[in-house]
Amino acid sequence: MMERQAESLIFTVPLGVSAHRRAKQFSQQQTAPQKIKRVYLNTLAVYAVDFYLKCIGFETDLAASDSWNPVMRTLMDVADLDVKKLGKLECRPVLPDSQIVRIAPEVWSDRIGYIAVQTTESLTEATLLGFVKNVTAEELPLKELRSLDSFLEYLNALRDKPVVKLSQWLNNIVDEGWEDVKELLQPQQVELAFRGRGPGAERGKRLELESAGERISLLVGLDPVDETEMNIWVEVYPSRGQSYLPKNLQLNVLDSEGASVMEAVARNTNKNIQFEFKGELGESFNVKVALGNVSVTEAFTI
Amino acid sequence: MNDENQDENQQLKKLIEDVKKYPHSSKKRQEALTKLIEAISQSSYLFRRHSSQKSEFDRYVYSEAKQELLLYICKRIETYDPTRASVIGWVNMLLERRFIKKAYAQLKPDILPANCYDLNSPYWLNVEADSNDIEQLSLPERMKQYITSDPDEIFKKAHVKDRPDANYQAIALRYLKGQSWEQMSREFDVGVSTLSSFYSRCNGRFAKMIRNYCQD
Repeated sequence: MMERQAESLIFTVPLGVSAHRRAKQFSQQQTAPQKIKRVYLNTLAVYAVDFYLKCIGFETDLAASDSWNPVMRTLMDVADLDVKKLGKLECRPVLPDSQIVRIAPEVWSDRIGYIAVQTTESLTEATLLGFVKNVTAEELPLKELRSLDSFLEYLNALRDKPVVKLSQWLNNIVDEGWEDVKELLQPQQVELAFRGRGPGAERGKRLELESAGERISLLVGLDPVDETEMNIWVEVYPSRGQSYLPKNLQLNVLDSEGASVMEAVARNTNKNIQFEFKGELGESFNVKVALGNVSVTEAFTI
Repeated sequence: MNDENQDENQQLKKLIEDVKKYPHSSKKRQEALTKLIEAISQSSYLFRRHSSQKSEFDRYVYSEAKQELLLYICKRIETYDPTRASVIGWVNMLLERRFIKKAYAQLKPDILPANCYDLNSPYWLNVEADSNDIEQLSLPERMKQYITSDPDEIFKKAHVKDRPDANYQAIALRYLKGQSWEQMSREFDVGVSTLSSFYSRCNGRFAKMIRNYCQD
């Protein structure tokens, strides 16, 4: 009897003239021979992943990518691709016979993932080998890569669960569904919410705890302490017309791994719950609001 | 069609049916598309360049055409009519009659040889000579000058917490000189990831300013 082997996905991208022209154009702005080659290969890798994502229907934004910015390319060994609404995907070139992929420390943060792209000797083709979500070392053995199949799974999960980019609120770039606080709260709640806050930004969202039949408002705000550190606050309020939060409503702040770092439960007469903490730009956290076994989790990046 | 060819055609047809069956932007469709495109791309029945067209130019034109073809298939898979042609027949017709012709029409051979390189190309060895206008400073040089002069006194002021010596200016200039993170980490006695993530965040903040100053 024949047994069907689980096939892992592979994708090969032909690298034509336009990819090479772009790579040459970018690399020529550099002067050190090593850097020239690095930029050339980085550009091809980004080009290849961009092509793949276009094929399968993910929108990308090359112009918003650091790898497409001459100053950023000079200041960093960067090969990022901005995937619209999801974040930056780092596309690292791998030489034909190499067993490792190199990932420069300056791109270890602010990435949704790292995808390894192996070129042929002739640089007419590139193969997407696989990906990892996080890196902590400059060299990653290729055998530690996760498959293209799990890459698709991960990308779709990310798309279906968008991460709110908090620091962008300071530039008035606000994610869909996040409203002006005044739209959500009653006037006396607004006063409560804004008391003692800095000039940063605060937004709110209505959460439906569906089967529990409750609606509450989640508010998140931030205020810069210095160039990298932010004061963050997270609050929940009952929806309009209610004075108190539903009893036993639970609010959790979770770290990026999903471990709870702050927790509070509403008693009989809680008008709100508030958390404050400090975080660094680029850090991620999740906020979970739960009532009984119904919960809503929102993901944030500072 | 011989047997092998027919087998492959059946497989490709099955993959196309899969793609069509699943909703747009579903993972199943993306998976089927990935398999379909890879199968077409690697097919031994895919139209190749004529043996007379062996120049480097032809090679890159072919890659360009193939790339356009694959993207077209992804976007227009619904237009494939199995009653009119085999999958490979349809694909080859598109490649030969449409995309290769289009690529030759768009790409000019006279500027091409100097534009594509393989990993063993001499381009990597003597790039410095022909890549820079002698009249004007290179972008990295202009950036070094600007960060050194720090006219608004911001690059020196941004530093790792409690470590004024490990400031953006010091790190950026070392980086631009080609110093490794390990070297800098030893010099400042600050961990590589602390140093590099501080540096990346600052780049995010300062890039626009640097670009405005350093680009004409």
